[in-house]
Amino acid sequence: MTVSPALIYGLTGLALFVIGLAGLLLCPQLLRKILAVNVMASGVFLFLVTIAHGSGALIDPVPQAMVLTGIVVSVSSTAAALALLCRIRENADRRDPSQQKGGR
Amino acid sequence: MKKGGKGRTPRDNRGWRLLPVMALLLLFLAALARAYLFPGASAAGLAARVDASLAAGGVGSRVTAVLLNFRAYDTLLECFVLLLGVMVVWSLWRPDGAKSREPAAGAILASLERLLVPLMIMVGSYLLWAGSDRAGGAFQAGAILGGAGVLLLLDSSPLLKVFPKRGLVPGLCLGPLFFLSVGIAAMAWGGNFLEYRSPEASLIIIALEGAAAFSIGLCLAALFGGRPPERQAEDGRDQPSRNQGEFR
Repeated sequence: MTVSPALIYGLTGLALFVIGLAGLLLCPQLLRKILAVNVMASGVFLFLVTIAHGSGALIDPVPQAMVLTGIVVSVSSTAAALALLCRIRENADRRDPSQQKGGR
Repeated sequence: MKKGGKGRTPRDNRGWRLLPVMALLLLFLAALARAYLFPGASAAGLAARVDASLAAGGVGSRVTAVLLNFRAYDTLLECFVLLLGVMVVWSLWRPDGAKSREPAAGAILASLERLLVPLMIMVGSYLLWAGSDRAGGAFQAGAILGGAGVLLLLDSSPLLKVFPKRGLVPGLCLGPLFFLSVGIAAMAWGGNFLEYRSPEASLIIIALEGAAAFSIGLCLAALFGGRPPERQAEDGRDQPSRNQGEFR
């Protein structure tokens, strides 16, 4: 098997997914978890775009369409997660005002 | 993230505990890579099937045909996911909680807005139009329109007043609801849910894309703004100064 650019992209996408998974599992901070999920999503998008070019001259439009909608959905889920994070932070600050300067 | 390492165990201790997790993750990566490098028989893809039915799809662009015709059900649900995101963000908003963002006012931002926003609307419309026979479409156009909205929200530009406050919720719902009603209308005309075929399909798809792009852009901007409109009106009465810098 020769090393083609598509192969590199695909493996990079998989590696990004696993790196993001590691961040999701290992980082205790919520903001880092959100960022890790975004890294995972980027890996999935890269992988999907790569396999769209997979077999033969025809480019498969179905994975491309999934990436298009997936990007928009990942933006909205990130926004929802960040709103949750802000709310958690507010509640923590309210319960323990002395920690308020602790940054987020 | 200043005090990020607060709840962490000492570093040398942590390293050992990480080892099994890392090993598992590497195994997982190896399994994924194996599945990618040696695909089974089912990896042929759908390109040939899409090409075969493209003539019935109503548009020349294969990605657009997949998005708005062959797999329109997915796209419909994704429009609703965006709406759901806005609902989550709005319901988590608490007027007394968040420190209000400082409006990033500045001459450069203001003039950049005046320069870029019309251009972004134009490029968004072009992408919407181009989506019928080449790269482009509702999601790209919506992303650019959303970017324009974010730019305007950054310093609560007076240009935002062009968009009526009461139009926000109907505007957010326009795309998904129009999509849904087209799907139901297709049933009324004797097809299946969301089944439309060639002669009228291109018109339907262009109308759907326009509505969807508008709502997607508005949803993205509303996600960035983060405040529901009604509460803002209340806020504005109490403390007019805090009403700046967010979605009106």
